[in-house]
Amino acid sequence: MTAEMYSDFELIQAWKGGDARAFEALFARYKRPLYGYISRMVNGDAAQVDDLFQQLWLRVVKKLPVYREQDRFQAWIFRIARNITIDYYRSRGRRPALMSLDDEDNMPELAETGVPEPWQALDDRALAEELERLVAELPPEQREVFICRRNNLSFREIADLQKCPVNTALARMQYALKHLRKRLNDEFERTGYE
Amino acid sequence: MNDRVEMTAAEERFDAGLERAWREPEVPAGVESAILAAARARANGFMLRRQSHLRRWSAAAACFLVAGAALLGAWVRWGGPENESVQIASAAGPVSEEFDWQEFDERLFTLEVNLTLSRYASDDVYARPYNF
Repeated sequence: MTAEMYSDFELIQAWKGGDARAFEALFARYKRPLYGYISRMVNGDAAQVDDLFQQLWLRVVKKLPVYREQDRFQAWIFRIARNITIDYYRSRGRRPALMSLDDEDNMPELAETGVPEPWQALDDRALAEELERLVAELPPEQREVFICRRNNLSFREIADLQKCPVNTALARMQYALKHLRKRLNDEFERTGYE
Repeated sequence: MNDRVEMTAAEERFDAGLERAWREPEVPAGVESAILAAARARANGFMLRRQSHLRRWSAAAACFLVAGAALLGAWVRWGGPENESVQIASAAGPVSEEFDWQEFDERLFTLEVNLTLSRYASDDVYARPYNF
């Protein structure tokens, strides 16, 4: 039996029973998505991201003994990560600039063109680098929705996280995708990614 | 609710196209070790607390058994089935071995005399037959 066979809740229960390896398995499952979430949401230096990541898990260690929800651990831990990020911005006396959804109303709809788009010619590595850069350009709410979708949170869970209606979360994702597609194609046409 | 169906096919396709390039960053080893050390310490705390609870419950169970055994012993010694006669006698009231039978006889005699006198006193024919 490997750790992958156990649900999050089973691992939590095992840890509460004194099994430290259960926590290691849980940590291994979520460390990279959460580290990625914090580093992309903060856009700060690595030491700052490490510090926030440690704060997040120490808060998890502290709060996990009273955790009761059986099936929503991922949403729960992302909520803590979000609170840590917001605390970070508050401590610096600023709030990340929010882009109004109206600002993007003039963006073209994503349409099936039937022909490959320029950015699709990029190899994985080049696309990954470009994607990281463009995701960092997104307004925080859109960036958050995009990152959470990459980690398979449902729009309902993301809406709970952002305390907004599901349709708003969905709209933010659509704007993020439009923005990324436009910027990818613009960049490709401008530089050719030689 | 399948909220993914609200995305258009083009959005879905573009989103899936980005999937191949999406990488989650590695977590630095130094950061990991500090977190895991904290989690291990907490797990040890859970273990110690559970052992402490077990010890406490074991001690309580042992005390309960000893107290129960003592009560059973006392019941067998003083209130058990072989002492039933003593129990019944005790329930009937205190038994004194120094009962004064002579006083009892005197009181009984006085009572009989008084009853007789009162009966004669109420009878006209035999009014005052004796002169004590």
